[in-house]
Amino acid sequence: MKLRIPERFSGLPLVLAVTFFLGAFLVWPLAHVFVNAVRDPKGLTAVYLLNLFSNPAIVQAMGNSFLIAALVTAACTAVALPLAWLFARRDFMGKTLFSGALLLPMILPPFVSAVGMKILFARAGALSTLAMKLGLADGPVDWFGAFPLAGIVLLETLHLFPILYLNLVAALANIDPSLEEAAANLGASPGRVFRRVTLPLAAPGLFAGMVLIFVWSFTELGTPLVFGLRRVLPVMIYDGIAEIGTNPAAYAQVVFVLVIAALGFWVGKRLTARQRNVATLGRLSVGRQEKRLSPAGTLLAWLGIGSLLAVAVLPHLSVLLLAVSHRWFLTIVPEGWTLDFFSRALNADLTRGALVTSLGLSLAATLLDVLLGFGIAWLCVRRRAFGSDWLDTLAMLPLAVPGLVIAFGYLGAFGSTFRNTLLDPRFNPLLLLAAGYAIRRLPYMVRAAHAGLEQVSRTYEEAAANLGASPWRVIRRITLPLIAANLLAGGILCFSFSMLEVSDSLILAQTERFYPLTKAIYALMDGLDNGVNVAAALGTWAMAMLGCGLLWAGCILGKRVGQMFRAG
Amino acid sequence: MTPAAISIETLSKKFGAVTALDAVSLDIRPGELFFLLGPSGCGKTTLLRILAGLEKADSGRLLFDGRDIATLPPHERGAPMVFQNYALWPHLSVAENIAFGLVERKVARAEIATRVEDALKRVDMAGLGARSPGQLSGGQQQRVVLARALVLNPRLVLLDEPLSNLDAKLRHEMRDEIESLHARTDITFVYVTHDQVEALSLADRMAVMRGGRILGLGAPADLYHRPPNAFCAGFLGEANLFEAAIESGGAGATAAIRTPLGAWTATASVPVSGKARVMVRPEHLRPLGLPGSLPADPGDNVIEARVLRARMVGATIAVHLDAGGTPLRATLLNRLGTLPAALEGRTLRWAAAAAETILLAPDAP
Repeated sequence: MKLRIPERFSGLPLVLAVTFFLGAFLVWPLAHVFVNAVRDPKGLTAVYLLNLFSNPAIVQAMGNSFLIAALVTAACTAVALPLAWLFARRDFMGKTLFSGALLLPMILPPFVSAVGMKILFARAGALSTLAMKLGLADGPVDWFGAFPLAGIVLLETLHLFPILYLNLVAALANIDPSLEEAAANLGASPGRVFRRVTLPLAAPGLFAGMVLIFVWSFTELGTPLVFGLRRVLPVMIYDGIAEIGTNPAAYAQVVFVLVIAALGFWVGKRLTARQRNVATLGRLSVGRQEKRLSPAGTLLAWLGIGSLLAVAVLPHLSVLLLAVSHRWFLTIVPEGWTLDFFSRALNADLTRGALVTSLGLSLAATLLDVLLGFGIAWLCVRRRAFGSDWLDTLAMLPLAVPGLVIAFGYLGAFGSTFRNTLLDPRFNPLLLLAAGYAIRRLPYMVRAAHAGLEQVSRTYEEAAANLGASPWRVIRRITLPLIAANLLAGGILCFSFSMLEVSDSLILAQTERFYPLTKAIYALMDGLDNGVNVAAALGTWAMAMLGCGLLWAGCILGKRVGQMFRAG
Repeated sequence: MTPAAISIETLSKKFGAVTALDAVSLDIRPGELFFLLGPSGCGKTTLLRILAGLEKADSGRLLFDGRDIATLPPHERGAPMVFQNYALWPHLSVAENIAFGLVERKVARAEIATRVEDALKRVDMAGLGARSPGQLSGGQQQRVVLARALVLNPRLVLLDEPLSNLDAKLRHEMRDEIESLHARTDITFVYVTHDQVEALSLADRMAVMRGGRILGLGAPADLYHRPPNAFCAGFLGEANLFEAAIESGGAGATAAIRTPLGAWTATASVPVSGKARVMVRPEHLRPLGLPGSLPADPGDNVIEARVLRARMVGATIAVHLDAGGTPLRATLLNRLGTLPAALEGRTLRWAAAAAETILLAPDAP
């Protein structure tokens, strides 16, 4: 006789597997960090945590980090709010094209574009030379050398504003048009309608997006590293890696970062929960008719978006320029052009190894995520199985944990426990890198699968079961084919972002043999023999790959691409 | 005659290739409970939204109290609207929702409080001002929307299918409620619906619309009993329609006509000539010779028809007839003496009064 497991518990093996995976690669390293931050040989102590606030260097670093995060958040809001309003409420020629182009700035981690910008704005760079030629400056000016903070804020803003924009467009589109019409109808002028109805209704989405940007820029490691600003928390932590076994100060700093991030995530989640209540009141009355801009308005919109895009792709352009330039020193444009660096980037041992490593790791992480993500979403949406709520919460947790924290946790926990095994990042970081990549992208994958399952009516599956398909056959023949597009899009995003993952890669890969793409670019930057150019060429390859990936995912998901970057 | 509260003059509106309004002209009188009635897509909601300023007409004039307001933005129209889906702001409480328009009009705080309180009382919602709209039932939300409009003491209130989201019982309650709210004020109501029962039972006057045009305009009883055309006849209730050739008359009150059922006398509500259609409402077709039924009057149109089917539908019995190949419907009061089963298969004589046999103008294309 066949043993029948009650349906409610049929997902138990998967629940256990996911719990184990997340427990081992997320909870345990975090716990390790916490414990080490409050432990010394004699027992428990709060001295390291308290030291955070008495050490002037750390206090200054905290101040800088907060300042960067606040400025980036403010700048992103200033850019994204009018932009989102324009795209959510008005129609004009070229809108679709522009809305796609606005995602472009996301395709390169800011630290890679920082390489190009640094050269462009450096003492011997194009801008400095131009300023001298025009007589605007007496001697060479190192723009970002003098104001590294400005450079960091600029680059992170240009990189992150699309995320807030996507959040905001979704929030604005969710507002029932009749709510605004009713306000106008009762006597509110357009400005008053925006202030009294539109903004309050979009506020949860706005704040949640702002929180996301804040946490992201607060924990960003690559950009300040490239600009040489050591006095920010992430770089301080990075510098503390060398003495991870002996000095608990870095642990305390990581705990501080984690607390800030978790706090931000908690606030964001509460706000989006409120937004959902708001959005579900009543059904949408009519489709919104976006007002068409007048020719003058269209021109103005083009001008605004065009100049924003021009500034936003400047970093990417500078990377591209750097990759094809032969000798670019104290001239406005490079003296010569070459495609050599592209082939060198593909042929040198370090870079080719890095490409292969990154491809392999990203592929592994993506496959793992697709499997886990579909499993979790299926248990939650279709089975409402025992433990599925717990799974959902657990799978979303990585949103609140910065990559920096995870990587540091791996180094501490696995490095000390599994010395000289495949789980020791100093011995071989590949397994942990794959796990780290997978964990960081899991929430996006779960969301993609979740959305897919909710769009597909259950009756398709019930009909298949009714006609004699076993549960496994139903999944294989009906469910999977129907949500393949969602899984594919989620997978592409996982893959693309894993390829350009920064903090995990910089921290965990310690020997050149195991360098992934981003770490190789970082290593090349200071290298001799046109290392910067090769780094830029490698960055361009990565940019092309990621751009194609995003575009592809965008084509599959259409307008829903914004859902992947929601804050809560 | 009093000047019109709203004058609509040859108003036209197109959405792309679709004509929503086709040179509509209409006067609405002050204090009237006026209905715009028609099937979906007839342009009634577009007309209402143009009145509110939420859509702009392509051409034509729009006057409120003699003043041209076509270019006035929505917030300066002073024509509060009751939205079909209520459009209660979820981030504001019930009281704040009602106070919204008063705040925009910069009414003093203390006065706002008392007026909101009064408005809540007026719709039987006293004490519920602190609730959030999401905590209210559909009927309560409907009352709040009404209060939100009426608290402004407007000259004009616009209602867009206000009862379409309520179940049947609540709909009856709210119908009465709206009627009594209107009766207690001298506010002009313009009410859009696709439900002819709502319009027939509430309206002072109504316009029946189709394809962006007004096909019938008048008091409910007039339109019901003497519809100008087949569309109005069919939209306002059940109708037996058949072809008729006019032998004499047609421009005045009565006409002699030839129908497939014989030579009849009919009443012309609009001047017709030549070929036309004739309408008899099912409840105006009286059976003769049943226990308790009245004899035919002289001048009645009398036919012979067999009862194919009789079905009880509550207060009435719906009867399908065959009059020598022409299908007809009749509606009888449901009395113990006329059991449906006893009627089926019988051939009876039926009478329709000449005054209730109506000649219709041929339909507009």
